[in-house]
Parts: sequence; structure tokens; C-alpha cells
Amino acid sequence: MKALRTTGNVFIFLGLSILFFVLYELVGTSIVTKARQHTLQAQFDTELANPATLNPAFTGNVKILDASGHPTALARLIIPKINVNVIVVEGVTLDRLAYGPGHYPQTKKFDQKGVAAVAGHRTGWSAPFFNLDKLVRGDEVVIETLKATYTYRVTDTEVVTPSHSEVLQGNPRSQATTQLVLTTCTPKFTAKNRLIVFTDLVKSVARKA
Amino acid sequence: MRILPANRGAKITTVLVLVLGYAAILWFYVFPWLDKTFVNRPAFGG
Repeated sequence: MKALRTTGNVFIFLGLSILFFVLYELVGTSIVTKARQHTLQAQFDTELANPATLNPAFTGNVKILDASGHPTALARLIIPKINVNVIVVEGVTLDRLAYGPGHYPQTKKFDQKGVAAVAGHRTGWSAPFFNLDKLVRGDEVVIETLKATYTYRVTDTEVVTPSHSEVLQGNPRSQATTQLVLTTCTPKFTAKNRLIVFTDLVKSVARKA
Repeated sequence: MRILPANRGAKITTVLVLVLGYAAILWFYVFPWLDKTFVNRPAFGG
């Protein structure tokens, strides 16, 4: 009887620990990222409103971190269909992605011709790409930098294993010279594969200083 | 064998410290490791 009771207590203990992990993933991490995004959005809006403080990141002299070591706002990513409006930071390490989606440093900058790529969380950390699988061909993706607003259209989606990093070179079936690639985990709640969304640039509107 | 102190106040304090300590270890060490190992790796080479 005592053994049964001890076993029961162990299971209750483990169950509570798992519940605590779910709380950490879905609530705890998101609180951290939302607070950071709030700061980054305000920072980006301030820079947009004051052309004199234009971030030198877009002239080749990349300012990735602020004075206290936090990532700075690189661009704003808007995906109307899935209600995404987030600030993108530079870098895709897990530390950086805890601030928001990250730009792959080895890909082109948003203001350059070529292929730029962005990674974002699907679970936890505010899960900016939670509904990325809902995007289909033709859906709009917008990148706002201090220099211009770029509108992309989804051309393809793909699921690959984590070793297929060649997707960062762009959609092989597209002729567009400027593309944006979005990557995240799939299926939801696992890191098994990567969901890739390929987009082509269709419009760019330069910002007036 | 008695593990917890007999005194009611000391018993509550001990349990509280153990629970909070366990929760802190999970929150700051175990969960971040589980997160980056099994749940969240959205980037290539990240």
C-alpha cells in the first residue's frame, strides 16, 4: 500500500513538473519576448520618426547591438494574413531569437539585392511564426526598413530536414533576383524539421527622409 | 526515519525552500535546455 502511494506521489510530482514546463514554454518565454519586442518597436518607431538617427546598418556599417549589449531593431516584418507585426533583429542564435525573428547574417541585408532570410520561433518566445504554415502562394509579406518598404509575395512553401540549409540561397524555381526566405520549426512543438516559405520581391517604396 | 522537522513552522519553511529551489532549477536550467534541444531550433546553424 505504501509503495502504491509513493508511486502515485511520484506521478503527481512528474505531472506537475510537465505542467510547469508547458507554462514555461507558452507563457514564461512569451512574456520575456513581448517585453523585448515592445522596446524594439518603440526604438524602431523613434528611428522612423527621426531621419537624423537613421541606423547605419543600412549603409554597410551594421550596428547589431546597443550600448548595453541588446540587439537593435533591424526592420519590421509584417504578415497581414497571420497578424504578424514584429521587429527583426540581426542574428539567428537562440539568444537573439528570444528578442524576435532574426535575420541570417550570411544572407543579404533587406536593402540589398539578393536573397535575405529570417528565422522565427514557432513555439514559445511569443511564437511569431506559429501560423506560418497558413501562408499560401500569393500571400503578402512586408519588410519595413529605415530606407524603404518592401512587399514580397509567397511563391512556395517547403518542409525540409535541418541539414538542408541550401534553402537560404532562395527558391530554385523562382527567377526573381530579390527574395525573402522565412524559416521556422515544424511540426509545431518540435524541432524535427524546418518549414520554409519562399517569397519574391514585387514592390519597393523608398522612404523619404 | 523523520526527514522533515517536527516543528510545524520549520516543516513549512523546509518544504517551501525545496519546492522553490526545485522550480528555480527547472525554470533556469532544465527548461531552457529542453526548449533548445527538443522544441525550438527554427534556424539553420542557429
